[in-house]
Amino acid sequence: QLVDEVYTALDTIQWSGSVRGFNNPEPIILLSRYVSASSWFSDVEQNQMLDLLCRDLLFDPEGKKTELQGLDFFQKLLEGFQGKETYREGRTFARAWGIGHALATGSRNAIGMMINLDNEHWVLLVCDFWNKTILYGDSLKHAMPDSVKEVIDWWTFNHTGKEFTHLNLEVPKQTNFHSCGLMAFYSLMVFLFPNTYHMIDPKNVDSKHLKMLLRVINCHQDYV
Amino acid sequence: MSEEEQQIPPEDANAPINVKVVSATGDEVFFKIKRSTKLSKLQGAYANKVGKDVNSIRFLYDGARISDTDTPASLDMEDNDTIDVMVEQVGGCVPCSS
Repeated sequence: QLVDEVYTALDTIQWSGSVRGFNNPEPIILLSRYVSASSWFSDVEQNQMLDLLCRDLLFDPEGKKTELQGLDFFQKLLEGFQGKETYREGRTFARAWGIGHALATGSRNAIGMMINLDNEHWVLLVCDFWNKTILYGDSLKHAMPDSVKEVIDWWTFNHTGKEFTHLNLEVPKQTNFHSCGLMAFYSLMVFLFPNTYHMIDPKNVDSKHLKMLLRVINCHQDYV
Repeated sequence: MSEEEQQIPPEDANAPINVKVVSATGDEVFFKIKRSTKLSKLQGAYANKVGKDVNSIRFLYDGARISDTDTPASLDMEDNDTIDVMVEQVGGCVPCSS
């Protein structure tokens, strides 16, 4: 039935042009990556899923307490870490500093972001400023790399003057060769909306790929 | 002798600004462009300079992707602002490899 739904949805869209309803107008033809076992998710899919989750937050009364940032955000923090003396000055880091300040002063409680490791693996990071914890989710069950840890520790300490506790965020162990991005992202969805979304079952991950594709197509259709 | 106030010419709305394009590895390329010039021109020039397909590069200003029709004026950019460059990132991972 799910496959039929996807076929029907695919029949209703043009395969030229760009996907609408998302921050970045990516080519529609790239939607095939959601269902291709041979295609790894790129920043295109990760950003589209983040956009969908941002929309969920928009409709949630408590949603404004959570910040979701695109894939460039950690890169910006890394730049700030490498040039610490200029982080609080100028416009280059104004957005990162502003978000950090909002989190440290309680205007926001937490920030979630996806991080790419070595251009081969997607992991999940949540900084919970309210509880002073940093949650790390990895479908390979590896510990947070030092290169990530030192940046995020620096950023949180820079804004709060406190050291955060590191915890693991549950992500089921990956059993295929292409789904780390979707699995980590699902854990972010469950973390933010535990009553709406359910943890992904690694044995059933292909159906989640199809469901995510349907969500993207439905969003696109809303704007066509 | 009375003092005459010096007339300050109004700022040229289309005066060139300096823009720094920074890659994920920290490499910097500087451009000087008019505020009305489409940034797609800058994007093409940058891609040429670094020898990459422009479609494989994402240009971001203040965290948002720059579109083909954006100009420094439309994005309210200021002199010495930074454009961030990201190349396509992929991930899927092979569990047994690590």
